[in-house]
Amino acid sequence: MVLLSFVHLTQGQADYTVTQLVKEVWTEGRVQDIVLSLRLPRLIIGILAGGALAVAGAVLQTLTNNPLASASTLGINAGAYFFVVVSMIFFPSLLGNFPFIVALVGAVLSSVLVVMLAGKQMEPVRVALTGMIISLLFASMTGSLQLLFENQTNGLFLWGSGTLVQLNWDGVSFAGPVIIVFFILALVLAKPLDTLSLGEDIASSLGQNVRFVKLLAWAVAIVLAAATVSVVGPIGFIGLMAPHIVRMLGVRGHLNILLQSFLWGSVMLIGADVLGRLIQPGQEVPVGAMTALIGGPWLLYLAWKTAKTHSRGDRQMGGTLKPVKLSVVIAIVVALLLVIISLALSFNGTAWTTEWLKPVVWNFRVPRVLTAFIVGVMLAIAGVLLQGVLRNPLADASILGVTSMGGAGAMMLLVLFPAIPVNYMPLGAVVGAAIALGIILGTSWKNNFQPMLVALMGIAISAFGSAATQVLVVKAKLAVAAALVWLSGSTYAKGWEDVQLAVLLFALFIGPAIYLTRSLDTLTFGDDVAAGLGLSVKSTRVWALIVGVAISTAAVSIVGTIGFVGLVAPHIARRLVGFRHLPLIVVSGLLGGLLLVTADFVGRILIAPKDIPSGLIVALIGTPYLLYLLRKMK
Amino acid sequence: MKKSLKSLLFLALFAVLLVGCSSKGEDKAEDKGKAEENITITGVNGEVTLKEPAKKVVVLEWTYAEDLLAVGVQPIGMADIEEYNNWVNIDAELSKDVADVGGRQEPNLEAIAALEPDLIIGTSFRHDGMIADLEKIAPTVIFNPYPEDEKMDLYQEMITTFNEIAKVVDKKDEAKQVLADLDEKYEEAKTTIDNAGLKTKDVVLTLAYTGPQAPEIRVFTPNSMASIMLEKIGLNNIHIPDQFELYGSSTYNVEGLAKYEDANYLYIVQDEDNIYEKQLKDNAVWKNLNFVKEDRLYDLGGDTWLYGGPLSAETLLNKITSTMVSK
Repeated sequence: MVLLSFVHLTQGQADYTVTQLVKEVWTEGRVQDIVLSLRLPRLIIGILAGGALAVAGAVLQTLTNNPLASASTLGINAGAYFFVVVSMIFFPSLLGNFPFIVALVGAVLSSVLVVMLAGKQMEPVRVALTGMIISLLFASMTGSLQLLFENQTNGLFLWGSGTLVQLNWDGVSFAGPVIIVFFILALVLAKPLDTLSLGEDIASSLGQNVRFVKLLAWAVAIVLAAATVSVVGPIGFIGLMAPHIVRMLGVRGHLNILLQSFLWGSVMLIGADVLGRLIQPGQEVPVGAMTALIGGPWLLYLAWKTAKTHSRGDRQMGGTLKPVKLSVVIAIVVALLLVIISLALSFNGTAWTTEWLKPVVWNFRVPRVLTAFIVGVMLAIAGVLLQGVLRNPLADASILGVTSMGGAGAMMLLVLFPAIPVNYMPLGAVVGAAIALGIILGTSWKNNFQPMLVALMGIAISAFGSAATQVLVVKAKLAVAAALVWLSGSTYAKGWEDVQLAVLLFALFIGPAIYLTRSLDTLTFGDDVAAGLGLSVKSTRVWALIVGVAISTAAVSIVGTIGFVGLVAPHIARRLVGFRHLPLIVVSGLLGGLLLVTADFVGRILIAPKDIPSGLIVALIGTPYLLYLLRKMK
Repeated sequence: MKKSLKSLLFLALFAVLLVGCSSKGEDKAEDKGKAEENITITGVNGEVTLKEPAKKVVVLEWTYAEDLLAVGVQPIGMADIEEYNNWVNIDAELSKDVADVGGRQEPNLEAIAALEPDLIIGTSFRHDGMIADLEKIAPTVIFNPYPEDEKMDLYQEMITTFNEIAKVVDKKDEAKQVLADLDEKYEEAKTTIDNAGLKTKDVVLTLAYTGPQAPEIRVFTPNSMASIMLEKIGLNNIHIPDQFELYGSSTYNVEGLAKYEDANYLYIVQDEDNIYEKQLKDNAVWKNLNFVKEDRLYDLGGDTWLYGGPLSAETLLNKITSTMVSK
């Protein structure tokens, strides 16, 4: 820790040798200024924030009896950050005075949400998944707000992915006391927590006021997390990793665990910061991205271990038992589609035209709308397959990490070969997605593709992929403007070649997808029944995974990373036509097409002649529905 | 007396310019143009030939709009007009009738097509990927203001592009005049700076904004266009980057400025994102930098565009001379 702190202090843009620093820091002057007003606050805030997150994680893990709990996996960080952004936009004066209170409200709300949705038993994998979805919700809402209120949120990028940059002591002098007070409070709670970890019954029979202790412990964890978010932004994985390392080292008893967690958390955050500045000297790499980069693989390992020891957590897929007649559903959806497509073809944001064959419309608008439709269909079908095979209503390509690894792969290509045209980015995406799939297949093979394990692996890979993308974006600097648009998912400037490609890919994959539907239907009865019926469960899973990932990668290669379609469309379909996969594929395909055509249309006309990436619009439409769904799934 | 001196100077510059122009390898294109009466201009995407001078031009990058305005031609359509007005401040006014064709990164193809242009002008780092789409609408020429070749003179690239654009709208004479005026301006500015009695002619030129992480300060490198302009008026840019910077600037935070504290600090910052008044105001490092303590800060205003054409260059010169002399 001392060593790392020392290295940390020597890093910076002003070139001072170590001896210079050591000598001159004691006398007034430039070196002292730099060390005292820039580098030292950065170091101290790093120590405080890392420690606070680690302690919060340790407390949460005990509370939920869940090795995967932490402020970031429970969505607390994302919630706090979302509230900071909201108040920045709508109540700027409030934030100026009470950023902490705002973050706290967000943190409390999201943790209540997660606890409500995940159920009382706090089953680890379920909690982690719910937390992940809540994080996803808040993150996409934050992203949308930032795009729509660009001017008001400019300074917020400071926090966006977590940064330790400090320009004075304000951050430290604000967060320091809060963190220290609540850390001490946590230490006071150490004894009751020891008792609590024996089990609630034993604890209450020993005369402990379990409810009070629990409530207090939650409060401590939430306040610690909120305090860090309000100063350094959402930083993930520290709270997950640090307590584990401590436990792995054989430390017992909460007093020791908490103390050492604090230390390890500090070391890890400072270490990540040091590493980030080593990767790109003189430039800021978000420290949050660095922790995710290190933490992703760790979570992968942890998920693997947890899933092995914990009960398999299959979830009900939902879906109505009284399906609406298929012909009726299809007729309605097709009718809606026709309406939106003709709207999309007729209106460019300022003027209406019905001459669809006019060169302007025919060359630019028609292929764009068609591409959006086909890609929407493909994304939705991939969603159906992936949800079916994982028996997890929350699965989709983005949750499996395929999408984010695809993005990372594409960025990697751009960084390694800067001269390569943007058109070749999908190549990198295919490689990235293949790696993600490879990891999932490799790690889950032995466990017979236990659905929850696969989903957890996906979360870890996804975190790693998006962190890698972030770091690569910083590395590639300005040249990535075009890449960023692609990354956010765009149906912009799709021509007839894209339509051809989309049709080709669609034709290639639709056959296998339909072929798989029967086996997937059998799988819904559960692995044992399915095996009893003569189905090779394992090979069905492998093939459905491969086909699902292939379809979504194909879609990504055309329009970039558009999420949510594959998540939302199958849900709506399931509520309409039940759980049989063939009708499900048809209906959700149509719904997916409808969704993306609508998103493309809205994105085109909302701030015409400018364009909003359709990926963002989909997220805006998709999140409220997902929230509603999460509530329903109780 | 003064007037005649001026015109003499003007003549001399003119002559230099002519020599300069004719030796710059444009001869080939020019000869061709004369032979077939077609107009051929050369961008990084090769030669583009038009049957007659372009009347309706769509520009997808501000610099090229500015180039057109400098020779008295209004584009028919342009990208990001609102932002252009925030950042670019030149004498020539952009007409209210110019159609906005969307963002510079993702211009609205339909809007461009609806204008039925004769020519589209784009820039390499944004529009290389969509040349095929643009060419479906109209002949398209792409210029690259940031060549990968470190030895390229970016200032010369700007002049060459300017002349090419002037040629395609049949305003070669006007272009000559603009460049002659600019050269005259350099001389004037140089004299002003010489007489201003500055403590040092060493400068760093910066552009600051709130970046993805914190206040970011772009410090311009000697190969950047703006820096070449500074050298032309006798100022000395002392920032030498460690590595080749494609876009002509290194990104620093306040700590990185320490090594330049003895120079004059020329800066550009937008009013609503003034990091010097907001984030850095109470920062000890910033406050104790020599150029801050000795008040050698020169605010060039948010709308001095360092990536523009000849008219932006004039604005830059005016701002530099007026702020440096008035202090």
